[in-house]
Amino acid sequence: MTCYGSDFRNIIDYTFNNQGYRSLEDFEITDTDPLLVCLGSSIATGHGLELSQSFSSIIAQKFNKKLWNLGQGCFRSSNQTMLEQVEFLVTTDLNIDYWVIQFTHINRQGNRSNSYVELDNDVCIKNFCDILGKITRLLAGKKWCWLLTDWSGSAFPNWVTGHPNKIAIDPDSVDFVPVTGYEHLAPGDHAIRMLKVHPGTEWNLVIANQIIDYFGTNSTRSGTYWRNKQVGDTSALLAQEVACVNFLKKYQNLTWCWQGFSDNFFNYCNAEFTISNTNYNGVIIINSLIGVTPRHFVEYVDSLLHDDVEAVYLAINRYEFIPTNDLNIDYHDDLGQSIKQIVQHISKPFQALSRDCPDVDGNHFVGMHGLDIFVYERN
Amino acid sequence: MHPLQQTRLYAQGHPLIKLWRMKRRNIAFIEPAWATLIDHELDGDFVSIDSAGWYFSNDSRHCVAVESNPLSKKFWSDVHIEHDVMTWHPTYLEFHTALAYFSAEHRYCTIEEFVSFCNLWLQFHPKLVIGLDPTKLKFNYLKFNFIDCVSQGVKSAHFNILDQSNFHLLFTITKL
Repeated sequence: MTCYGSDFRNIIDYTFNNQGYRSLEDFEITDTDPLLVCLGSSIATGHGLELSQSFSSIIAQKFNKKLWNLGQGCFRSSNQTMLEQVEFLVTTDLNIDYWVIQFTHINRQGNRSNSYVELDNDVCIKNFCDILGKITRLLAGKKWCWLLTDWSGSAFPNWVTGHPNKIAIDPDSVDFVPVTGYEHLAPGDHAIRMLKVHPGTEWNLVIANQIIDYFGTNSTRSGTYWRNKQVGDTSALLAQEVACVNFLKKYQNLTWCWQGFSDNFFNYCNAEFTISNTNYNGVIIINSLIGVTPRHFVEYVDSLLHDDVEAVYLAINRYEFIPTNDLNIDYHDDLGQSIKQIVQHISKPFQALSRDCPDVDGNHFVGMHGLDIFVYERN
Repeated sequence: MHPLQQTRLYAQGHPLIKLWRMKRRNIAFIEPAWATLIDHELDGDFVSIDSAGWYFSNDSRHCVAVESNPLSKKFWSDVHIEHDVMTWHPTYLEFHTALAYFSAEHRYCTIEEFVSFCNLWLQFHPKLVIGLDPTKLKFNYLKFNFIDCVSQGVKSAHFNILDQSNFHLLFTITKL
């Protein structure tokens, strides 16, 4: 078709596959080709542009991957939908090499009819943080990145703005889809307003290049986040990583849920131990919580601990808690003791291991501090 | 330490340099806290302590920058290298306002070290403008308020909080 959504210009060819996505080919769940999956709104779909001009097509072509552009325009699109798509995709056997997620306006709650539900801004921010947190956990260890478009202008917490997989929040509006051939419509017509807010070819190229750069330099989630930048010998393990490995070796037959940065240490553990985030009986949490309140922290850990979990390695950064006493704890004067008080609120009993490296030294200066280490052992 | 690693550490220790240069919607993007700082606190000449303050310089506002890391020479050749700004006030500094904006020296110091820094520099400058992430200092921020802890040690001074959001605390200390 050449008319779709708000684009009545008859110059762009829109082709949709049997699954309803903009693609020349059907998306088969049995596909074994290496894929680049792109989730998003009409911007990811390439509304107003040829499919080859959309940023996901440019990236897929660059990395020579088959593109699954799962962008959805119109009222069906929302960040919650993207979370549901990710939740489904990670359970499949698809060979997904790269994930690109273009979040849409945080106020956008598709209710599957032709209207939006308008929510309070604070509620929207909280919802978005929840969605991003869940996706971060689901995609831990995978090559993925996200950007947030639609000029939301919202004040996000630190861990969102500093998220290592972030490409951009409110990226520059370089250009828009040119609106021509609409002379028969009134200047403020809905179609004109909707079409001309969609970014043009230049913007797509800029974003594509940013993402290509990101994937090129960040082989996995935080490849250059702190460790690979600071430790010259990337095969070396830091003191706190050795502590983790020693603990994992006690439980060779467990399958571990990995909740941490995916740098060299993830690759090391992935080679030495069995890691699966869907079916596990051990949990590794290493410094993956940034900017959380004590209650959020406890709920997060509890959510990972089902009945079959036999062992948990929990290493946390004591400086990353938001100073909110939402657990009503009568804190000790010492910060380290206070962290222990927070950990006691987790449903399973944890024991403290000593801090293995000092707060600040040459190799831990920027991104990594001495972590407070706690372990849970069922037996 | 490898020079490359040192450069990276410097750049990461001054993350806001990148922000300052970043263009957004075709105009220079300035955080609200920065705008407040520039408009109301930095009038005339000022001293910047270990915080890449030359980015605040313009035709009417002159910055004298003191940095502890020699690498900063690569970014601005007029910078003065001082290795111990926490306990030593260089004699050649004589401007009114001193600015320490997310200084690398303030990360992971203790409250006591920070208090002695403030007391030292307040002897020579009537006003300090300080920006930092208070949770990075060593004290129990889950229990105590940062300004309460500092104000107990810094006597005869007025504290004015300009911005307190997102872990960032921007405040001034004015000598009474």
